[in-house]
Amino acid sequence: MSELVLETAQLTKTFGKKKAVNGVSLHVEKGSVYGFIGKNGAGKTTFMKMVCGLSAPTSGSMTIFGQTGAGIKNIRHKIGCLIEDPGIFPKLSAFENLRLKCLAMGCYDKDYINGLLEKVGLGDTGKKHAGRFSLGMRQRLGIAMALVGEPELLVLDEPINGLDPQGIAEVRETIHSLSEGSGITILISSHILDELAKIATHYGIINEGVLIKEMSAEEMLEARTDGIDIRIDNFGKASEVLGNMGLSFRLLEPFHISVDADKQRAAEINRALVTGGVEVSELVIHSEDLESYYLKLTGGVQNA
Amino acid sequence: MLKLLRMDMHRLPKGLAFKIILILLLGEFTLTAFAFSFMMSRADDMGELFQMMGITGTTMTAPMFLKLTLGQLGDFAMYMAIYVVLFSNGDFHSGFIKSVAGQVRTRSMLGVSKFITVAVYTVFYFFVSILISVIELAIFFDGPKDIGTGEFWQYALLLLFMYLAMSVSIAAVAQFFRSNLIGIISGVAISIGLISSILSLVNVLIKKLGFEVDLAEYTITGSIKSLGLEGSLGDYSQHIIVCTVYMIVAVAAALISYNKRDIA
Repeated sequence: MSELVLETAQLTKTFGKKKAVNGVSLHVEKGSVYGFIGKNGAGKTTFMKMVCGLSAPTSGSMTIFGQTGAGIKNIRHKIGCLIEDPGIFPKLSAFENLRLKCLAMGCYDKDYINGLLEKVGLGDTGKKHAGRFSLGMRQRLGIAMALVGEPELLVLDEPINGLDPQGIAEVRETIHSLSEGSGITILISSHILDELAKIATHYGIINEGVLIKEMSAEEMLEARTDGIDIRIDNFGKASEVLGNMGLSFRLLEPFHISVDADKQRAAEINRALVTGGVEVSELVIHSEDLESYYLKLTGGVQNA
Repeated sequence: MLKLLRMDMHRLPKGLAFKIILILLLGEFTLTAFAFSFMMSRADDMGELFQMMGITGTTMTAPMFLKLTLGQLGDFAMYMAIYVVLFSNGDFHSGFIKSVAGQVRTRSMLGVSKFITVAVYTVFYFFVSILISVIELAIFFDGPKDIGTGEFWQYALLLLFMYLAMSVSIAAVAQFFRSNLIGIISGVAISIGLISSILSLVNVLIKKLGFEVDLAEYTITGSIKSLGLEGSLGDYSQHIIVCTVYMIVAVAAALISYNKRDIA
């Protein structure tokens, strides 16, 4: 394993009796784009707030850039964050918003601010008030603000939520260029799993406060099972045949099932169904996508 | 800390409310000056009223005008309270705090920076008010008489200190509750004398229990109102102590809250 930028051990945050984050032990490698996946209320934002120093853990520990405990405050400036919303003053321009952040970080320089605006594609916004920006532009301004002070770890909470396809593509490109061009380590959460799959090198899946899976993108690809979608005329008989073969399956719609099986077994399954008296009208082989894999791990659609 | 202070000082005059409040203040003082110039032209009929207001003679002096405008809390204090709350909670309201709070070594420094900025604003606002007063006195009366006297400066500086205590305390309350609504309601309630009225009611209840006490004497607003143009600094030592205690307690509570509470 390469150098870890962030490591947590049994990190827990409790609100009253509810454990919003429950014993999360997570590992983020240097230079990676870590996709943090979980449904609403799974504990993603709470976890990220703890990493960013906005919220104190109830128990457990964190090691960030090799520092732990009180030592973390010495490296806080290395963490840039965009949590929940961009945190901008709507009556100020993009430049003025960045200027405030720069003044707070002690790195005010006109060219530096213009460079940051160029980096996130907001170089031509002039004196336009940030309140008049599109959602995508606001999010990119939020990312620019998180980049002030040249952080080495960027924490982005749902940066593409609520954006239109154009906005999503713009933010994705920005994140991609930051990761590829500047080598910044990025911890990012999102609901839009297909988008996350385009940029993430590692994944952590959290459900009801518990980290249930952590893996690299390669491991994720290997772990995902192929699926075979089959249209049949008799669910009862098909269920019996597949059960005898030891295969699990789920009902997509009446007379349409999805079988968790390797694609190499397609012919065998087809033959068994036909032999068992089931008429097969369609058989489609597909690879499981990130969303299906996530749903399988977290218990299905009702949990998404 | 100095970096945060630079940021806050830069943000201070950026809000629209900052300009609106100064315009309102100018209008307010002009009306007050006009009203008093009219009343003084009929001084014979206003004898009793003037006596109640503490106006002596038939000439409006600078200390007297200061006492009639800034010394009565009212709109001056209310505008100040509103702006102080809006400014203090601006970071929380916009979410900007989340972008900054995680990157500072000691979170309470965010609060300290705000309090210093609010204090600077109060001094600025106070002296702008005096400047407006001078202009109004020049327009509606015979100029700013007695402005250079020790009486004027003692009154003005004591008043400024009490307003500093008030604005910083209101900022602390606003930051403690992190709510514009609570901050503005408490600020307005203090500045329009609602708290004094409530305390008067409590005084009556306490009196019925057999104790004689005036709780208003132990408030910042009570101190501002009881400040007179006469008397030595020593005469107001109790009020100075009361204001200092309020300021220290409020600031301490807000700073502890900054350090201990999560940024939601």
